[in-house]
Amino acid sequence: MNTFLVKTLLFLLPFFSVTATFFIFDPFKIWYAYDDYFSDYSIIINRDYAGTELYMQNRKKMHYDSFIFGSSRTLAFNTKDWKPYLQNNASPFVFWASGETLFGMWSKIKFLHSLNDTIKNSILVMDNGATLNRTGNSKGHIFIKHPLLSNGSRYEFYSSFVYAYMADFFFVRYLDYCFFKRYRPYMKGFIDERIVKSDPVTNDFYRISNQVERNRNMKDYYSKREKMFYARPQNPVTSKAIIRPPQLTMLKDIAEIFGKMGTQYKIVIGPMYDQKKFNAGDLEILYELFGKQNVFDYTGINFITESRENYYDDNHYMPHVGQKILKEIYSRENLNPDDKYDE
Amino acid sequence: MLFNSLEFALFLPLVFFLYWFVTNKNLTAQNFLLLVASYFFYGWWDWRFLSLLFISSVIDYFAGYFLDKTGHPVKRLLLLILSLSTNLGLLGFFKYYNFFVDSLVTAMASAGVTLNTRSLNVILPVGISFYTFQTMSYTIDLYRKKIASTKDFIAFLTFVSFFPQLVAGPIERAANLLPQCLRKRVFDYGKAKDGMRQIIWGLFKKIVIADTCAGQVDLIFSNSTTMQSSDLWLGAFYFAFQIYGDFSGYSDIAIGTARLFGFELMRNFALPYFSRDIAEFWRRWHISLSTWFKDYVYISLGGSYGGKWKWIRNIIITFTISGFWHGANWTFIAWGFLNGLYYLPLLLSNRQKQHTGIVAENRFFPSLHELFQIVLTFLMTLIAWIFFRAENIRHAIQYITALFSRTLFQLPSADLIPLYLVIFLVVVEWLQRKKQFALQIHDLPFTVRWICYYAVALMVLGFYGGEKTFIYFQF
Repeated sequence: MNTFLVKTLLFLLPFFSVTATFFIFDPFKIWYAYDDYFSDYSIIINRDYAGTELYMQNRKKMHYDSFIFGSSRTLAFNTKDWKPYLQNNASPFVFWASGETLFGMWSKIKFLHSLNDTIKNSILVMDNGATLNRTGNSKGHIFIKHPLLSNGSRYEFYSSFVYAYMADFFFVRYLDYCFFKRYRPYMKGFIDERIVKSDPVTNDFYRISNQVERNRNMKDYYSKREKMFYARPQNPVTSKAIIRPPQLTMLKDIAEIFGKMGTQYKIVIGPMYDQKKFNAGDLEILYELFGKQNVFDYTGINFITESRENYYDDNHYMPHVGQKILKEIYSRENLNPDDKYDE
Repeated sequence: MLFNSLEFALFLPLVFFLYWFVTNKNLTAQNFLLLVASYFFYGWWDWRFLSLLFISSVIDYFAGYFLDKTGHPVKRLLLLILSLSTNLGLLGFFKYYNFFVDSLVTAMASAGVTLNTRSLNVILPVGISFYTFQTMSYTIDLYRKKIASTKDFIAFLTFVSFFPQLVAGPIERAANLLPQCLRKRVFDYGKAKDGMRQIIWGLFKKIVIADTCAGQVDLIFSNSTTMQSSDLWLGAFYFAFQIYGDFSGYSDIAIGTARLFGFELMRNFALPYFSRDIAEFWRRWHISLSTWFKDYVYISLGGSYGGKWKWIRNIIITFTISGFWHGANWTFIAWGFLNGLYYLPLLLSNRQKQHTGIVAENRFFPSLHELFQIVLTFLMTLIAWIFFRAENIRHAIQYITALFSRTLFQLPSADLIPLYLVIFLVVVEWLQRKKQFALQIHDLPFTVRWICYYAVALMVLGFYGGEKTFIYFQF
């Protein structure tokens, strides 16, 4: 028996060592607490987790009361652009997640409600399909929800990161980068070369390298991405109806919580590059639940989607688009007569 | 719990430690530990279905107990019927209810009759086809007076639920596994070492071969109408190795794990793609199920007795039922039936047992004749696998028809990495064809052996893409 155990341990030693590096280096920043989850960014982390942790760390100090919910498309909406439309003492927070889903937004709103935290103002950034489609927890280490939000198993949450660390020799690429700080071609898709910044208080997210590249030479920026900005169909395409009973229940829950808290909310259906029009039936449901004056549909062919210069890539519109949208949705014409907030 | 999951990597050493260091002095304690571990292993997926496993075990335990006690033929028959109807009832409801209802509604609709019956949202309990067959073999063998019943309830429950083979086989016979549950196990270094090797090799087949092929198979089969012939051939080829890697990999891990606990399970795959005819293929593919059907269905139908026509009938029925066992879909029935048809020429010419040994046993390469036989047999199984994988019969026929289009000689656009991996697997298995599994390399020098272990383990780690479920879990 002893020989067997010794040999087995000997065989497994390198694998134990690799596993140990996961806990020592904490590549996905889920094992230890951090003040800034993006300070030495090189690996795509779980933004849902980072955002939730950041919120929990700062909520007592910052007394957040205004929230932007949505996917990475919320990066078009900065809190500094939003603040002028809010009460003077408002404390905003971008509670976003990669590939955010209706389940994610619903969980976050319910979570805030359960903490008795106030949501005075809110923007829900949705889109054609991805957001509303999913009514359960997401899969994969980038997308799985923080267990505090999803009430899911902690084991499942943490193990998804262990799997990700082991899969496709990720650990080799990561450790190589960790020790030698040199980006090599084989790291493509695993080590993120882009420079990004995140505000450790408001959780605003900035794609610095995209901004710098675009500012340097806009023509070059888009000519490099010719394939990405494909030609859209001439005739408008409409998305399929996506709101079914599970989605409806969650949307009703959100509307109910907002109603209870007296939240001033806006629902933005973002201007997606594909120019697919949001389903009219689904839009009616949103109007009915949240009020026509609070729902803003920017999908389809319009002044934003016509120009590729409004986009970083075919999935993300830019902060100047966010500014335009904010201006429009908070303009006097769109104000509900009952809305009372400081100017 | 999946063998290729993190939880199993934690579960196995823990159970191993408790088994050999805490409960090793007492057989009942050891069996009880295995029983608890097995129920935990199964319940990890869905604890509610533990009740089915328990009900099936309890009924068969008491049916077995009374079968042994009574000599009255009618009572014995009634006890057998009780056992069979319980197990087949569970299987029929959970696995086939919707299939029968849907088929009936479709059949009646084609005759102009509308039925107001609706399907139920029935979840298929993992491994139900495996453990019900295992417990039925116990009562049938008792009825046939081939074995004696056991009074040890814990040992019997352990026999039914033994976690390494509970959810996807090998389907053990009571005659082999039950006596092992009833006698004290002693740690055997050689057995345990071999078990570890077999686990590593099983993980290689599952993660490196099956999971790598799976991505391409899904892509090709779901876009088969737009794919060129060469890609369709590659898709069918990849599926043949996906299902082989997946299922034989599972069996290897199961056998290896059982060895760590001092158990010997039956061999389930014996290099089936080196078979020289379809009869040999079925002696080498999913051996535990093939022999089950042979012993309990084919023999019960009369086997080869009663003339050639009855013999043909029995073969076709056995193969068709075996196809149906795999799933509630006409594609599986067609797959089983087609294999039955493949068998007939051998049966009619009485050549079904001409290849029983290892191919090219004393040579490095097969003869041209053997190579032709191997390729032909493989092609036949490849065509049959298309029925197995297709969404429905129409899809299978469309796929097979498209295999022979003018685009056959164009370079395939599908990823070729799985092909290189499959070639590697075939070469290694060919070189090791006299062994039980390819990583049985104890005759090599220490350094070479350990380099091989690490190389295989590193490939497993590198190709690992999360816990992907085993195909045979759905059966």
